[in-house]
Amino acid sequence: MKTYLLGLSAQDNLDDDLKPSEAAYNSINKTLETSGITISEVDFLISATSTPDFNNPGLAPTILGKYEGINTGGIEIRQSAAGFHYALDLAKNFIEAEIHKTVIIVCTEFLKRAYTSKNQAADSELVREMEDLSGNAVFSCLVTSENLPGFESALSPKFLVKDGAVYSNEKGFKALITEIPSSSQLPERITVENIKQNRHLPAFRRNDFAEISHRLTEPALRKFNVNNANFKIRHSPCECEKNSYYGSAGVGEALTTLLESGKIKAGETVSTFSCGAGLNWGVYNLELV
Amino acid sequence: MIFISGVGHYVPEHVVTNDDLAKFMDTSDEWIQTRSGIKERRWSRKGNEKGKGITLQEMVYKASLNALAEANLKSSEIGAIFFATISPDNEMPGSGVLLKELLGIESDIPVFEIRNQCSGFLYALQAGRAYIKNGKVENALVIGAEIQSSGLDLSTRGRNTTVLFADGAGVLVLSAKSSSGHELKDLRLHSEGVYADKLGIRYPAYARDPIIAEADFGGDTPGIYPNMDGKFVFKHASTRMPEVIRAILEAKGLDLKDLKTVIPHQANLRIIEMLSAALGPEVKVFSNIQHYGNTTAGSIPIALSEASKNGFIKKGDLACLVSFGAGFSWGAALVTW
Repeated sequence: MKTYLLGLSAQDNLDDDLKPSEAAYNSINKTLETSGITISEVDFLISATSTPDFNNPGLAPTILGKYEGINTGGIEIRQSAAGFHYALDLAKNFIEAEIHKTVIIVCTEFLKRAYTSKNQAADSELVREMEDLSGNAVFSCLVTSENLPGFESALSPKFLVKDGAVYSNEKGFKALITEIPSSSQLPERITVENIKQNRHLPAFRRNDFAEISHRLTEPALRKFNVNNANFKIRHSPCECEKNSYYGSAGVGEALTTLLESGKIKAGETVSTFSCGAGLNWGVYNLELV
Repeated sequence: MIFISGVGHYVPEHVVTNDDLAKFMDTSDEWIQTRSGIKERRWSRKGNEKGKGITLQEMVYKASLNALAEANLKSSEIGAIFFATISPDNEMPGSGVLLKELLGIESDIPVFEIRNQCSGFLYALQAGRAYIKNGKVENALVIGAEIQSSGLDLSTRGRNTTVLFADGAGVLVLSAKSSSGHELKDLRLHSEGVYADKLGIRYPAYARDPIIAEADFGGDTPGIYPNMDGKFVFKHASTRMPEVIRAILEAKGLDLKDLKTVIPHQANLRIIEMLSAALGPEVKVFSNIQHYGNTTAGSIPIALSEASKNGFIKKGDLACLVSFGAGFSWGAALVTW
């Protein structure tokens, strides 16, 4: 059995009024349409995000709750920019273990929205760096096998998930960190004082992140031959321009853009890499079939 | 086959009785016990002391050592970590990578940060199950843990939820091979997100702009503290928990007469009693909520650890772990102990 991605859908020009769950719902509906399946045929949802509608519950049940009569399970993971790769790794394992046949991945990030709450008086370079880079985007796709009924006739282009893995290492923990809320901060996990100090916003130490991520991720990039690929997608806060860091949605957004450009042809492989807070990182090679 | 090769737990030493709570909010031991069955709970927070308390990863580290010892494994033999919590030490990244460091795991293994509230442990368990089943890893840590005491409203305004929630950590070692014989047979998970607003914490979050404001710290229902429609949650938990137990048994060609033990999420003793009544007198239903309160993602692994150590769950028992919580999300896992 092989694992495939279908129904890739991404949006990066999101309405200011949208909730994350609404953006995710709209994207998933496009995924379902081009994959040729209905929501009742989806076994499981994996939501990767750092910007849910509520602090808890997370986005996964909120998205699924927009579909009437659906009691499908949905897991919520927080893996920063590596969210797509972690979601893909988990979905691939579900498919290959035959625990699920159809898994929707949705990566939803409204990163820009955090900065309306910024205290300008306490602004720092560490916070401003991420503010300048941050954007809003959503991506979704279906992960399944060739055994899906209607697989061959699905409208959507398909990517074969070839090889890859996900990783973590604590050495870069402080290079990109949002401290608050913090359960071990006493007496309260979040205070007005914390907000005034902007400790609820990501602090980005670019040089530390660049040095540590380069050193830690090099073995995986070599193992999966990412740097020699004809098509490469790399998403991390060090490699993005203004307003184009999309967290977990970054790889999927770039993948959809590549697909829509027509530059990649059947039989060709795109190597994808992401690195985010943790540090967490992931690599996957995908072949357009 | 997939095995539970070790289970461990840790709760903070600081005991908070109902009488302790009555010193700073309008409540009483009788009121709390009548409604929830809770007599006392463990909080890492002792009062209004400032600074850094025990961290979530430190609590999980202690629980992990117990679980690994029971599994007769070294931490270097762990191939992946699945960490369910709604109360990490930092909003991002979560506590998992620092736990990896504490355990001295040098390999860059995957560490999943899972946010599924009271059902978080079962969702983490399903993820771990996939990795073991595929042979992707030989052994995985599956964790449910919370420090909730720093996120509670200690005034009378917050008493409906503050009396319930508590701190604790439970860890399970999932393995491809084990001499324990405790086999994870099946697991199913569900959600009903149309009720997402019935139980949870609103802010900081992204449904509106700004994600957090000073107004969220005050008023009649501050958005930074847990909110709950207790009666609504109770009604749905009482329906979904027996329903998913029956469904998972039926899927395996079994029924209630085959089931010996249930380890439910410890949300409220009245829900546990309703569940016990629904399952019948032949099924033993475990509870320790009287002493630990509701530890959300920590609840099931803490309960399983205690039940396995005090003989409540016996070798050969067909047991069911069952959860229901915010989302709503719920699930059940079938285990031959």
